[in-house]
Amino acid sequence: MGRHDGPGIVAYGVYFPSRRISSDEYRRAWGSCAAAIKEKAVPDFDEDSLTMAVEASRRALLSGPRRDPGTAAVLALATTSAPYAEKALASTVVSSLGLPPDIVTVECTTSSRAGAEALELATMVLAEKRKPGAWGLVAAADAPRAAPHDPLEHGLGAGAVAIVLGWEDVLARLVGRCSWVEESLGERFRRAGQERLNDMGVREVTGSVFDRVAGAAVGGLLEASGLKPADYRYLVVPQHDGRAGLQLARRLGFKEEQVRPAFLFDRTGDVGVCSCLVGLAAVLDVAAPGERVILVAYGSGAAASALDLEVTAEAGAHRRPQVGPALDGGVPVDYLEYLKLRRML
Amino acid sequence: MPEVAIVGAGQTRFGDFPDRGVKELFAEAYQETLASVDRGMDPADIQAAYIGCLSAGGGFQLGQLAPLLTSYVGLPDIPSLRVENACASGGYALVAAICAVASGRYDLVLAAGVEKMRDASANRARYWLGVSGDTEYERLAGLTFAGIYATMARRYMEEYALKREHLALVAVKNHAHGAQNPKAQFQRQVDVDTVLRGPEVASPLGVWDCCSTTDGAACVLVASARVARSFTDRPVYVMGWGAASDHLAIHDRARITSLRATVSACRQAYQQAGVGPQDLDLAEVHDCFTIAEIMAYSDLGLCEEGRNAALLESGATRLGGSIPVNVSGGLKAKGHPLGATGIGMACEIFWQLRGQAELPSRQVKDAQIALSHNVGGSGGSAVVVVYRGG
Amino acid sequence: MGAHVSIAMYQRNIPLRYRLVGQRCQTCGGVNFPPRAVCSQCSKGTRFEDIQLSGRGVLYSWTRIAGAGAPSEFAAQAQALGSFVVGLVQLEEGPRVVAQIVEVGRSAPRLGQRVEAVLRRIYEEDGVIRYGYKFRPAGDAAPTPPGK
Repeated sequence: MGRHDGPGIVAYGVYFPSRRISSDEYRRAWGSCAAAIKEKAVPDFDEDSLTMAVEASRRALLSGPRRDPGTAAVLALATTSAPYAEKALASTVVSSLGLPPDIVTVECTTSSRAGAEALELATMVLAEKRKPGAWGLVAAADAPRAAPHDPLEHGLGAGAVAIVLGWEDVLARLVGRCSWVEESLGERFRRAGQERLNDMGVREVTGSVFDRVAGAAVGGLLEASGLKPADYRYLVVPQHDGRAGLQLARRLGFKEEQVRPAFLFDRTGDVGVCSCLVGLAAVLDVAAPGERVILVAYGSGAAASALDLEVTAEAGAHRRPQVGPALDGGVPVDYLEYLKLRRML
Repeated sequence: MPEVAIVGAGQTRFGDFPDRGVKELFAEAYQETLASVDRGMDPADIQAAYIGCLSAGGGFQLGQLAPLLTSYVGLPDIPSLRVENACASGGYALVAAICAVASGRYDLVLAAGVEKMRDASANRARYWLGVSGDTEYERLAGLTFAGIYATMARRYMEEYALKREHLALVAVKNHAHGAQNPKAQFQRQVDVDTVLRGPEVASPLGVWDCCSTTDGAACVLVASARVARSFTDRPVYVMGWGAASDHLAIHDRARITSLRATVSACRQAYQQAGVGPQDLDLAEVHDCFTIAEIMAYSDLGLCEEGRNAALLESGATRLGGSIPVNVSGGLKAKGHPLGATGIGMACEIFWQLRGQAELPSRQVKDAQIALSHNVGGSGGSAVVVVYRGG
Repeated sequence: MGAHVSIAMYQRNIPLRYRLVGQRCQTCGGVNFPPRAVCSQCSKGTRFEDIQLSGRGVLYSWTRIAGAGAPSEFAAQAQALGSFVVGLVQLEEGPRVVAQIVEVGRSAPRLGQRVEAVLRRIYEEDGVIRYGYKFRPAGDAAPTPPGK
């Protein structure tokens, strides 16, 4: 991929369902809240990853220049909470948005790294489709589930991010990347047929796996770019909890101000495949031309991706911040309503 | 001179009959009808039967319900046909019988309606109603039968400044009427407060705004005017009738504060009868929900559009008023056994025009001319018939 | 007992259900939604072209279906939400459409209120999720607080 002529991010949209549950509700119900959240979004009874993906996609398409749905060349969908275990998922999004049936589709699932995978893959596919008006769409949506009595559940949120890729008026461009995978057992998982996450809670082991795998991906990226942490304005870290990503950043030599703008866990909770992309959207909401961004995505089991992005001169020209408005407001629900809405009662 | 007359009528009480099925209910109404013929009649003279039924007997007999029922009562040979147009099934069965006689082919035809709702689970009963709207676009958007009328009611309240209390007044009036009707399901009065405090079903409609779908059967004997007097000195003549349809789904209608099918059917009926609303002594009106009766007032020409609430408030539509509406109690209090409802209206009018109401207190004095109005679903079909005492 | 719309029947209407594809009459230019064999505007036209509707409209009327009275397909939803709102929406292209109105909480929507289409799960039948349009309050109006 050429550094200055490849396709890149031209628009993006963020969606959080309108209801919110606060950590106070967890404290009322369980005596404590196991996640460092203030609140998190709660999907409506009739929402799932596909409807949220469509909603974020519509927002992304509205936020940028008008695009002909018929010239979309690639759709990369990411979720760990698909409504079907087998059946094409992208078709629902394609039909809902009126994208052409001959579009290349990619479905990235089974780990929370999938959001970054979708962004990488869609960019690669679009890079091969240099036609006038050709564009691509990354749609990531998640509402991971765990059993109500599992402390892991306290942090699980819901939301969606969509990114429009194109050749012109690029806001940010992918200029490098590094993937790292290592077999790791004992982190969170769902066996086939299960709806709810399991977490063995072996923090010493899983913490060190996370540090090693995510750290290796960032290390590889830095080695390839020949730059130092200080050369990057932003680091978007994994946000499956309120702590691990921040500790990783410190350990890698990044400073608080590089990490904080993209760290939204206290308001989003763990939004699975979206967590790194929400962070990226938050960066794009404020980034200035020329700034560099590293995005780190992590999936248990274990896989990490580090993406190296450069913000272009176009950024900020027609800025329409997405993350703040999507997070602001919201209608509070109590814990009982939450259980009903999430079909846990 | 009218070509067609009604010479006999019979009806079960409407209500819950756990110990009787669709066949038994039909037989009861049929036997009462035979017995009601002043000079008696030989059942073998009945030449055809049209039987209104929505649910095909609660779903157990989708095919050939009508021959099943007529053979059960000893009429195995005559042509017998189930007529279905949701809640207007009975009205359409009546109209089919009238047409059959008017055609000259038959002199004596049975028009009947029967429904057995109370054998069905609540879900199944709702199913039969819910799928009488546009299944694809109304039911499967989550709208119930009550919900469709509620949507009309909300719009009506907005456009005509109708108050919630007006809806309640319809229920109060019809329950007062039903309290005197031994054939009614609910024979007790209610007051406005009770209606307003009732649990919400589909806002703005509460449980007291909704009729009860229930069990029942009704029959009338439709005869050519030529032979009518051989059965009775007091036939009730069919002066005119009309039937019409409208878009099933409310989203396809230009307006939802009036039922176009009613307006059209009514125009035909008045025209054929050569009478107008001012000539009516009573009307049996399709009040499946309180809002339905209010809309019907202007659709049937009983008042100008927009004067509906005023007509109700004036007391004109109460028993003793200038145009009593639903002296039977209406669907609201008499009960609504879907397919039987339209025929039950004809029964009530048969008795009223012959001065035969069971209790003198519920007899409309000197009633000469009457109208029945039967609606399918939310107005996808409607039948209006105008009658005159003989 | 649920109302039955076969998978095949639903499938034929997916563009309509998922993204509000309507018909424009080539005779009078009127817009039909859902589709018709003969144009509902001019009662003559029988040739149509597809038109992508905007999904924007105003609330023409509505009702709140009480939980206990919900059709069986929506019983679980009604249980979870207590009740739900169904509206008659006047689309800006002309047709009206019946659909659920989401994100209104326990508050009373207003006639004339602006709404916009969203994709949601409508119900399930034959084990398959039936997605389709619903509407929610549009524009800058903040979500209405629940009536607690």
